[in-house]
Amino acid sequence: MSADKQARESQVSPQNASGGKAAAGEIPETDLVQRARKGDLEAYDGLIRRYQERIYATVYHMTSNHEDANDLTQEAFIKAFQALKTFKGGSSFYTWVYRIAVNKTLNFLKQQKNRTHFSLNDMDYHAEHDPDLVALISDKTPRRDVALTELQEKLNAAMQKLSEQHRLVVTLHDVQGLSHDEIAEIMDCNVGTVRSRLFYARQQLQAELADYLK
Amino acid sequence: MNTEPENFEALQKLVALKRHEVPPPGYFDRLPGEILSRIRAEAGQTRPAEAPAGWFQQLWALFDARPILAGAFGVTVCGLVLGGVIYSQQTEANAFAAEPNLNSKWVMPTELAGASIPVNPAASQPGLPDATPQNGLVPPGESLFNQVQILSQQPSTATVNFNLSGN
Repeated sequence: MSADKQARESQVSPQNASGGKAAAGEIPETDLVQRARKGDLEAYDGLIRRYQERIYATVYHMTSNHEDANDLTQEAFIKAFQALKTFKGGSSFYTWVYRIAVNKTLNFLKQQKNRTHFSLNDMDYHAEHDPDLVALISDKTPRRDVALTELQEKLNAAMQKLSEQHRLVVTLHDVQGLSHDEIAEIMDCNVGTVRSRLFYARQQLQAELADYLK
Repeated sequence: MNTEPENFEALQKLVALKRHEVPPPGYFDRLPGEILSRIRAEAGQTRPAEAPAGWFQQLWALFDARPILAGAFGVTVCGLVLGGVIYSQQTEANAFAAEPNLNSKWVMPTELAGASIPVNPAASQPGLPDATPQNGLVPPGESLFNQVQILSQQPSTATVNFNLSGN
């Protein structure tokens, strides 16, 4: 089996990606990292394919702009490859590359402080059939006239009103489904800080989106 | 801060709507190829300069990945500079205090003024009075220039008659 094929087959679902543990038939993350450190781009291709969706999604939810998310995701993976020799393996590659992407995104957002241009992605076709969303926009809600796209825009606007740190915590926890411990490691802070930021951010969002939550 | 669980259930369901926002179809099939192309392109451009700047690039990449390390490095450098300044000042003060000639009552004149200047003009010029003590030492704190002034105040001139035979 060629290395490229092995790398492509090493893709895992987001749920498995979290711990960096290989499921049956997958190449372990540590093996791919070892090979990539020696300059094996096919192995690195496997690492990119394993984590690209989650990295992209995090950056996208932070920026609310597809083009920016695309650039930052690419830069994060390029930076990670260049710095792979400094990766000691103390944390998983997944956490490490996440941290690079998050730092790049936060720096980008600081430079673009007054930017208000959003470029939102389309909803996938599952959205209209999501039972939770159907319930939210059903006849039982006071805002039954609201369309899915309007809800998306309102949600993004409310998210953008949060500070970068609070938006990041909400994105990583409520959208990406990461644990408090993982978020603390990525953000280089303690778990208590993550919890308090999440609580505050949810309060802010709840106040902003009160019309859609009654 | 009160972080007791509130009823964020509806909010979490609403926020989960963002999971359905997806990039254009085929985006994730193209992305790895684009990243690898850029890595290859950048590797080709930077290869000649890679060898001498390797350690610096690694350090830079490490700081980029962990900004807290960059901060710690900055603090350490500042601390070392500050420590160096304080240490050098203390060393100078200690060296000055420990100098045996400066603590003693008498100082060798050659150590004060260097050997090139004649400390006792009387020794080289017989017409001048000897202004220094007999043991050849100068009291500490007394400058050689003061000696010169003292010598100039003393009458050290001799009368000379110029009798020209023709006048």
